[in-house]
Amino acid sequence: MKLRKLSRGDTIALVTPASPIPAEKLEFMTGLLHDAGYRTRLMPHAMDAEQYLAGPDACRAEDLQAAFDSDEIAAVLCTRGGYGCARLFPFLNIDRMARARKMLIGFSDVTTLHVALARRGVPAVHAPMAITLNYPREPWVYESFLRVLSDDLRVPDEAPKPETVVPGIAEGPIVGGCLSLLTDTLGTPEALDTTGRILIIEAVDDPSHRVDAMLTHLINAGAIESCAGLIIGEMTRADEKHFEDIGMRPWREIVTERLAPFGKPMVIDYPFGHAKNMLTVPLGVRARLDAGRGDVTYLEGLCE
Amino acid sequence: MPSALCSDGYLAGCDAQRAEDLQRAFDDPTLAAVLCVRGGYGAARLLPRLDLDAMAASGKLFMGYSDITALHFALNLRGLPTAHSPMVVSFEHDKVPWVAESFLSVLRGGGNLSERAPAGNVLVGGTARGVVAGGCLTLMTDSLGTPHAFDGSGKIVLIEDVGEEDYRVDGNLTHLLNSGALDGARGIVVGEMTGTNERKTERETVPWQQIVSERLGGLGIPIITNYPFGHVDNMLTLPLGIEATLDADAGTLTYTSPLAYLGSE
Repeated sequence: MKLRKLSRGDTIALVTPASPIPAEKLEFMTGLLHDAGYRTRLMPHAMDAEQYLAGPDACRAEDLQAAFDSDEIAAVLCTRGGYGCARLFPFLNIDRMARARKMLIGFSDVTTLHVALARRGVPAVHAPMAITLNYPREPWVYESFLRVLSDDLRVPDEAPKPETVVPGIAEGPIVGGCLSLLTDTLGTPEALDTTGRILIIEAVDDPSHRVDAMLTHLINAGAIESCAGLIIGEMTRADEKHFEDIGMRPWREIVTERLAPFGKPMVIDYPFGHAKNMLTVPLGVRARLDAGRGDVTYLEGLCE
Repeated sequence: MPSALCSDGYLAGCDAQRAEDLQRAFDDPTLAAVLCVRGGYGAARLLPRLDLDAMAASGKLFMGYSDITALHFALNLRGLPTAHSPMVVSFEHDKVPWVAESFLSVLRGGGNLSERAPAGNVLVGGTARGVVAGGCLTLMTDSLGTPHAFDGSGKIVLIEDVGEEDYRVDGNLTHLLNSGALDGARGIVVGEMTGTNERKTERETVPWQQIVSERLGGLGIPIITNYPFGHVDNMLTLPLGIEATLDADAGTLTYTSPLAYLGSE
């Protein structure tokens, strides 16, 4: 399945499906999108805040569903992750969202929704959000982001290459995102399905033993055995977050020890997700991972 | 057991050694029961290495909690009752007398002396009867979608946790709900989300009692909170895999079948 093309002059909806964001943190992203020729529309509840959620589930879901349902909106950008997307399932019509074939742009907690769309064969965009771009990033971060929105899937040459863990070549659509959100789908009707796909994994603020526990969860659920290849990002701050009474191991050692024995082509430190500088990664389009060379290329476009 | 004092980062030695100790303890006819000295993290790594059917067939009493929850599920699933109990490290801190009394009574195949401990607080009133199952929330969700998954259908479900931020308590409860693991549950006994309300973050922490009430209060089954088990200062030993009656209005959990698994007792 291909997404509807996003053209200059089209409107991108800004939604806040999980945790709240202060208004001033939208400014950079809206400026970036306007400069690139897109219009934006702030959805009615996007600035709501109620403890760790951006308002009640019904309101956040209403915004998200309306953005997908409206003919005037061409793509949907999440302003922030945090926590809350998994609470929305009883309120959403995911099948109707899938049929809209719009880019759902975001990462972190938004992984939950990306996985649900992937189950329906719908591509999506793993990308920095409004909150992410409040900090200065390398020029290739913006270049990658704007290229993917315009369906130019070439990876900027300036982006650093990942390290090889297991050499080899894998081909398949990319699926995945933030580790804790991936495991939070397991055993549910909207569970991660990695069959024949290249799995991308990154995390933030999880202590090292939890990184191990969540990788073990993916292993015990069969998600590693069935994937075609593995692209590991960064387990941001895992090495600093350990609990003193439990102890730690460096996260790169854990990832290698747990995942390399499966023999899937695998790279580590691919720059995406919660890393300081991140690529925008198109999900659900056929990609080619050359793990020996550290290259990820796309074999088809995101849009029709 | 030979590798019980090994240490390697957050693990007590490699998976093969820990699994061998555990398997041997169940297999050895000179050993009558198996007590875990500590939780932490690592039990779920052992599952593919263990002969769980042989362990269950041994009929031995298996005791522990926290990370050990992962093993309780796998054994309960195979028909072996186990005991959610304090471990060696739990007794490093002073306890009120009924903690050891409850532990020793269950170890001897008797009742868990819950009448000596404080009652829980009613969240949703009513009574329910079912097989007791559950334990540490994070480990419950870590089992979902695996061959050793927690299934709350027909059960009185125990839930407690330690050190989790408020939104992770929400996330884990939401995971249980989204998976359907609480469909058909008869009642819920919440212990404490130890340390959650004391976590310091950039915003005001949402009390775990509020999250539990909001996420689980609408299920239409009896629920109590603050029942004394798990990571609290003083904890009862709670048999798993056998029937009990939850009287939510009274805040009590009363076992209705004997702890017959010690055979001779």
